[in-house]
Amino acid sequence: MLFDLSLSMDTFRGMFRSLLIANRGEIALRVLRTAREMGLTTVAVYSDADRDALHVREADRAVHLGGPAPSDSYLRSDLILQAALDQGAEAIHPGYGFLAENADFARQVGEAGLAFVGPSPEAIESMGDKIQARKAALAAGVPVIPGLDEGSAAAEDLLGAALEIGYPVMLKAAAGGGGKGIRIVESEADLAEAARLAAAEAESSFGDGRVYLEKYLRRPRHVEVQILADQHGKVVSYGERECSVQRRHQKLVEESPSPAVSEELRARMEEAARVLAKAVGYVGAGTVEFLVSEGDYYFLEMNTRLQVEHAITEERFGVDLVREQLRVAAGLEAMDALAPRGHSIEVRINAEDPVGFLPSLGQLSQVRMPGGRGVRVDSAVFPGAEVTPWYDSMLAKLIVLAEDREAAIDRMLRALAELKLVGVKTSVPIAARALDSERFRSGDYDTSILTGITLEHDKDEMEMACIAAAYARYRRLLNGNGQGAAARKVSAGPSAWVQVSRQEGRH
Amino acid sequence: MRYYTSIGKGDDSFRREIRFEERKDGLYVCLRRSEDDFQEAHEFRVDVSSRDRGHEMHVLVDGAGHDLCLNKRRGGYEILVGSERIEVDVVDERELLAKSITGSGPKGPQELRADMPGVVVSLDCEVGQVVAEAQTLLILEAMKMQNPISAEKGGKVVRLHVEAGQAVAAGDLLLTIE
Repeated sequence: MLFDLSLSMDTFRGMFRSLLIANRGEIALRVLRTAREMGLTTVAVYSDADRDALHVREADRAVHLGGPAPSDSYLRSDLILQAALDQGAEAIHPGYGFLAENADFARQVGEAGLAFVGPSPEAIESMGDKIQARKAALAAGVPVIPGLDEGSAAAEDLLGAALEIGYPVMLKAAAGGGGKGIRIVESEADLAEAARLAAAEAESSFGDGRVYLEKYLRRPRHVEVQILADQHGKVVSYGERECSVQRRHQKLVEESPSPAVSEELRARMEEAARVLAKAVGYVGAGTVEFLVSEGDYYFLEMNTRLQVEHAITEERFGVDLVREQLRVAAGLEAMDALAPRGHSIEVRINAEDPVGFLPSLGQLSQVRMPGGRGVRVDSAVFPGAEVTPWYDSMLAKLIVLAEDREAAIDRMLRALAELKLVGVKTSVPIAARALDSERFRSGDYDTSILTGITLEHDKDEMEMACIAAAYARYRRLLNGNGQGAAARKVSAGPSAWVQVSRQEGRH
Repeated sequence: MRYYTSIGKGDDSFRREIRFEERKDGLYVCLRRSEDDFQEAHEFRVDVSSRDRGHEMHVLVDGAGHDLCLNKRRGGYEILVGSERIEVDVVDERELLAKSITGSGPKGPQELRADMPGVVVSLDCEVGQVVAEAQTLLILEAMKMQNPISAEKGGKVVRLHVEAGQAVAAGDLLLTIE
């Protein structure tokens, strides 16, 4: 859609000749496409479940790893490294997930004399540990969510900290992870009791009664900054992505730019991201995640890999981030970012039940992807593809670019209506409703946006579906064996048919 | 042949009774939107083109186009209409009749319901009577056929909800057996 201007004549002098892609699905295909455009020999790896996968079919070479379970295949760093050496690959791209943020793997790759397309093992380690990352951010002067640096079980410590930070505050077990056991305290009067309960819970759940306290952010938005750092100390930032449309901390819709970020805030956040990357000696593509609340921003974490949603940045900035990753991994200098243009949105198409968000497994009977101006599809599914329980349930990413936000929303809704995926339930209906909701269209939304969305069908659409179903029966369509309705078994069994015939005979 | 289509279960389910008619100028779909809709008041000319054995279907309803995808599922189809995925159950007259004959009531206290609209021709049991499985309990005339209604399991008739000559709608309670 946009011209890719990051390609220049002399950049590939030090470039690898062969790349192993240690991943599967759409991201393996995504990386493979760029590698092919750059003239690299591509090496795919696959599990038993992925023998027919597109990333295998499209690759120049492919190596079988093992059984379908990730622990027998895509997480087998030993087999993957051996495959790279056997195939003569000079670099390994980990994609996202699996081994992408595994410092040991990055270290082994380096020790084997190959290039790991990502940051150093040390940078992965320092950013992978939440407490270390927070300390690094504090040291670099990047704002973090105000709170106790260490947990405490003593009520007076918590009271003192809360007084300093201001209410509301959030309490959680220092040893725990995720959103479990979080308590929100609105005023000092409630703190002592909440702290006592939280400490008791932490003690019984984790054997560690320390409680962590931090400022509770109202209506938080999840905004992240894309950076790219080379081996020469240069760090480039590519604006922000808004990722607040989430359920269970899983992103569903992302957009760039964020409607909540002003020019001034953007400049501050980009600066903070670059400073942090420099401070930890970061090399490669990375994402610094922030929470934005009431005009302030706070460091959340840094992801030391390519993100699922990187494509919306690519579309706005006319950059191929995978190409940039490969270039900096080969020791070349990072290019300056071009001026962004337009508005880009991504929707993740997951095989899942939109009601409970549980994965929906099965075979895709039909796949028809949308097209037209400003629509990009990153996917690795095809008709007949199986959605298995072994891997992530994301089937495809739909990415649009348009002149402005409103046009991008309308374009995405158009693309979603064009998309046909049949055989499993998908996240399309809820994504379409979220995009078309008043809250999303206004831009004034936060991470709770999906909670108010209902999934009722439109009456006309239901009537149309009924007519189609009746017609399919009427014309004996979709009967598979081609023998028509007479060959169909009914649960009532043949005796009922005999009775019907008898009664019909009476008239 | 009539097709009874439904989306969702229970009282809130969306139901359409559908019949196709080939006429000189093409195919027509006749719809009943509710049980009170005794006249098939809703009639549309439809022009359907399907490919891939029906997995893809394009329907013109009085000229308005609908691009659909279909897939078979237990009891009916999953249908993609726009960005919506809708599960439709469909039974035709014959299946409905077959079902009503073998009985398809729930376990425990059985509630016998009319599977299709019709008229109760006769009641062949009374309250308190112990009845056997498959014994005819009443005759429901529907679609010009007299359909004997029987219980899936034997038991005692505890309540009659209809009387002879009464018109019933699909889903109406006929009698309860314990």
